[in-house]
Amino acid sequence: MSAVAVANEQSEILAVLARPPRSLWRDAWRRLLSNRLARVGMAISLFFLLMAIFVPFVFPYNAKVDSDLVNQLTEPSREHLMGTDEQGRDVMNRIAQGAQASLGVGLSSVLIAVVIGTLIGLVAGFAGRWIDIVLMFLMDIMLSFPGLLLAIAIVALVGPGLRNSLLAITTVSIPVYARIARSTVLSIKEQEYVTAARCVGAPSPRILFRHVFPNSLSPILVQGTLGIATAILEIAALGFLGLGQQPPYPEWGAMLADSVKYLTSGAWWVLLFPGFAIMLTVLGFNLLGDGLRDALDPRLRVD
Amino acid sequence: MLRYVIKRVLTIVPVILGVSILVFGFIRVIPGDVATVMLGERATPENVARIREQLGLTKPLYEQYLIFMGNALRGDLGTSVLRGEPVTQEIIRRFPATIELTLGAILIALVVGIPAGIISAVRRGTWFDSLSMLVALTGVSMPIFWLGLMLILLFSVFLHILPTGARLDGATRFEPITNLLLLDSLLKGNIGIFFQTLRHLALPAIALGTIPMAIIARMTRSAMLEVLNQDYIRTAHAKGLKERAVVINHALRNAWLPVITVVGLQVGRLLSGAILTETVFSWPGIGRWLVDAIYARDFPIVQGVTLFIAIIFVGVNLVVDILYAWVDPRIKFE
Amino acid sequence: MSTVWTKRLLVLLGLVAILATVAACAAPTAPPPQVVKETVVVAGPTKIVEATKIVEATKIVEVPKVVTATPPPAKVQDTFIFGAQGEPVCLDPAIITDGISGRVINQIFEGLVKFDKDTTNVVPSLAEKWTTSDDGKVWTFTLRKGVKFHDGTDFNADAVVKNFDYWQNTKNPAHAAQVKAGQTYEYFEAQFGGFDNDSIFAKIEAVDPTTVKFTLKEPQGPFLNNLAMFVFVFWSPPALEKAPVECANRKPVGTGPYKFVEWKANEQVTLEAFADYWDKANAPKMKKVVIRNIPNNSARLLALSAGEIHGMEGLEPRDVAAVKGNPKFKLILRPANTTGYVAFNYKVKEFQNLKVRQAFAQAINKKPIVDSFFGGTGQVANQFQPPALWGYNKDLKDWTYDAAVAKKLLADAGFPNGISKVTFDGKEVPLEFWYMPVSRPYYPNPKDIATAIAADWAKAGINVTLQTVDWATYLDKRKNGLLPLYMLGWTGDNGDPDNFVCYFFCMDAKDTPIAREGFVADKEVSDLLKKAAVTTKQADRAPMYQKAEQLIRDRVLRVFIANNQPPLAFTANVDGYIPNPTGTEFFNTVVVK
Repeated sequence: MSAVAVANEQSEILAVLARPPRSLWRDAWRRLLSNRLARVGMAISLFFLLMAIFVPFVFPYNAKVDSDLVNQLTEPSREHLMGTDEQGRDVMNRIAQGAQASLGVGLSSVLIAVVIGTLIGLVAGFAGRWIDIVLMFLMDIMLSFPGLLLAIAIVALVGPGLRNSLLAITTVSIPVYARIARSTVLSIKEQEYVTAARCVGAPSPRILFRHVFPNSLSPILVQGTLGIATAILEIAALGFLGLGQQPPYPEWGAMLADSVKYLTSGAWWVLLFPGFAIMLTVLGFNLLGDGLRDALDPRLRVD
Repeated sequence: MLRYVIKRVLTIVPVILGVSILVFGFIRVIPGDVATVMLGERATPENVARIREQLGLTKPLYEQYLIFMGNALRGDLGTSVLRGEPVTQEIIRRFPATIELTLGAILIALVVGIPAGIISAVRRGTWFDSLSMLVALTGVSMPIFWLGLMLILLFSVFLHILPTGARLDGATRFEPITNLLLLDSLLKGNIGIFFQTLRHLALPAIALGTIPMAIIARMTRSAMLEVLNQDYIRTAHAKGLKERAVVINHALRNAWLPVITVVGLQVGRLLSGAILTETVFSWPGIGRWLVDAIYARDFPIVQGVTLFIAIIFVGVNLVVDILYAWVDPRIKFE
Repeated sequence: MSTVWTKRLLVLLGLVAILATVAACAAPTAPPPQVVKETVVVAGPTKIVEATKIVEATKIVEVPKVVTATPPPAKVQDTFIFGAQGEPVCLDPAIITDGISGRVINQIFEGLVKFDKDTTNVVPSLAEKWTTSDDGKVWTFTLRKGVKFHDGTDFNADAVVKNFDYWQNTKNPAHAAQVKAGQTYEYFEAQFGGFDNDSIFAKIEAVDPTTVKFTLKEPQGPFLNNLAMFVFVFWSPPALEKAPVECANRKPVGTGPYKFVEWKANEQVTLEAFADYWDKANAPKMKKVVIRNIPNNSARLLALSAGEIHGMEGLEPRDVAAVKGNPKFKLILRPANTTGYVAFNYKVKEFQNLKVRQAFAQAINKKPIVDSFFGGTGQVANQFQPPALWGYNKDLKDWTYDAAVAKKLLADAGFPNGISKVTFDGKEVPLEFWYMPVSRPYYPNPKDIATAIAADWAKAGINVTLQTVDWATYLDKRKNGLLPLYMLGWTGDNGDPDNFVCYFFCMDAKDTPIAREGFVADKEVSDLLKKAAVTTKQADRAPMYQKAEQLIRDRVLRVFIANNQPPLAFTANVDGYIPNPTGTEFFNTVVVK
């Protein structure tokens, strides 16, 4: 190795050291932005998110009086770009107004499930012994049912409606987060800095929240974003089975359910558009979730 | 290995017990009264009381549970309240329809998903890769009930080439043996029924198979890519081995572990999906039966089918786990 | 990179995709799937599709006709095949309540009297004539002579008495065995007061082989109509004694025009003409009758279109127009015998105010709703009884639709800003409007209809929250008076106004408000109806029912929305099918040309 090379290397090292420290998060953000599919996902998710937030304010809609039976099931036209449904209501407007239900439930179910699930996982992982066994046994039992089946059963128990669907979807997704949180705890618990913190005499809750929690954040963030997509699919499925949003309020899955009877008479517009909205939203959050995973865990990246 | 299998099998006993308690308890706390369903618009308190007595609903809960479990262990899951059919027998009659549907779906998922994933990985960055990954991404995000409706709209309503649902044409009479119609038609040498079944199976199987297909394609691709970047693959190339030999003998052999796991994980998704697919396609399997029973609050059916599905689900996961341990010597049998 | 194997994979991928989509195997005669090999390289299922476009479908039917494995029945027209919506529950008339079993029963069994053609007029069947005592308590029936059961047994007074004993005597071995097996004798209980000592019968005697005398504890106005119901028909006594307990194995033996051949579970029931049928003038015109179970509405219409069945029930509202416009088919509407209504719960304080109820009635624009959601088979209802019933009030005027008037009425009643919360059982709650979770003849699309009604109401300032729950709980809640405002309806059983109006508005002996009916408690209406129920002459009873309808309308006790005429579809070559409002239809007049 020549002296020049050594000098260069040293100056490089110095240059790197001189730079402000890049945090994990900023790094991840940069990686996220450089991923084309993730950008598309972000754009789609943002579009529907803004739709859910602003449309009801900018175009106030009173679902209760919306009915115009004379215009029952008219094809798409200049007046109604996506046609009208069986009550003579504008399909495009109903889709835009319906975003609130899908995204609202999607986001809040994940938020609540993450909080409860993480808490359960952290407690189980940290406390160990019988608490761990009991909690994880409960989670295992819940995971022994296909998710949608359990959600349907819960709604059947508490009655249909958007709020009850939220409850069902949240409950069903708790075990996933609990497992993630627990496994992070288990892998971190024995690491030196945690042992060190314990030796210093830090109380358990403090260790939990200062050291363990931040480390389980990134897998949970990834799972959460993908979870929003799953939740939106599930709320639509429940709506489709007549267990979700109740009339006259718009929700994409319920709109599809109301239109199924027009399938054979060829009223394609009431079937095509609401489903397309579901697919696009779910695609958006899936892309974003994939992008986040690649960005947050470089080890998982394959190309 | 044997010890691992035994241990793993034993772990599901408490899970199944838990599941049965949950299912049993769940159904009991649901409001609404079976007796009223039976009597409909003409229910009077006296009739209701009499029916409740007959169904044993007046006994204490733990006794009801013990009776339920005792019967379940003997293979008797009770009798439908509405139609009086024995649940076990009806599951035996209907489950083949669900099996045929899910097998069709998984077959489509495998034979399209795996090759697509392999080709995408080998030809990374080509149009094929981009296209199949785009399709896979859309597929993962697909609401299957909508996909089903769109397939019906296109192939049945507009193009008139495939039926809208059911397993056979409405007027067709066919005496099944196992109720796996593809098998039965071959056993009976009735090729017409065989093709009719295939035609009816096509749309539902595609609808149900799309999500697993997309997931399998993506998983295969990334597993292959990971393997293809390994040193031994480079060594193999350097040795002058043909591309095909490298991919099949070296890469594929190491990439299929994660693929097995992913396929196993799809079982739950398929069972959930079957509920929706069977609803859309009027498919006479257990999924639609369950939904109908939930609407009608036919306790014994809901109880029996939920328990049955959960056991199948747990069982398949067990098999996948064991299979996984068997093919991957790195897993410790502790 | 070598691409040979990737190409092969592509081929494999394509091949199996095609095998799975099976577009290529339209008919058994079509070439086996390997023929598609050459197109395979394209690797998509879409390409193959063109090759398989086969028979074009008819206008209404969405699925093309496919060559079926078993050939359709031979074209010799000696068989009438009817497509039913489901499977019979049981072929013992005494323990059924459903129309699907009823249709089979009607062909096999007969009772003392029956409903005439497409009316609910009671005419003789196995009884030739009857007399009733002045106090209406004693009914004497003279039976037809020379009538034989399918098993050769003679029909006589003894057989009638034995059948009544089977129905009402809980100690009768056949009766007791059924109860033990979980069956109920629901109709007998509902129409004749109950079993043993609860029944309205004091005595039933066989005076001589052709005379039966019924002594009632008190007169019953609709007695004859009750007897004409499809369930009060007679088994051959020896056959009844021998019949196994399980429904599926009970081989029905009656006196009807067709006798039972076999019941293939989930498939069909086969009947054949009874050679010794007593009514030579109405002897069965077909050799065989098959009632086939095709649960799916579209599949059934497809089967009709393919000529595999000759008639069907359960036409979707949206298919009605297409069937009507197609010369291949014949559409027959069953005379309206159903009424869909909206009911108030009088535990809701606001509903005790007539002005509020009137506002609810006048805010609904019934015509567009009936036009949009009944497939053209519905008609606007203004009273409980359908027009075909003899108690129907022709002069009754409906409340006119007027949202402005409704608003004003609400304002007058103290709700100038409309109504969205009510006081229900002492608690202030949002006003819920409950709709049925299932389609019924009186409301084919309850959810859509409820949504439209709610929108009409909203336009008049009535803000309801739409609610539903599974059917069982719905009925349960309604039974216990827990639904504040709800939708429901009724299908008439026996053509007697009593079966409509009194079932809903008659209070018990102590005049307790009826929980089942939302605690409706109108003593004047109730007394009038109770009086009509124990009056035996139709001429005396009719004005009472008409007056009751007028009172119900004036006091807006309930809002009636529509009568529906359930549609039946037949192939054009079917003649002589006479639809009865109660659904009690006899196939002996049917001919397939």
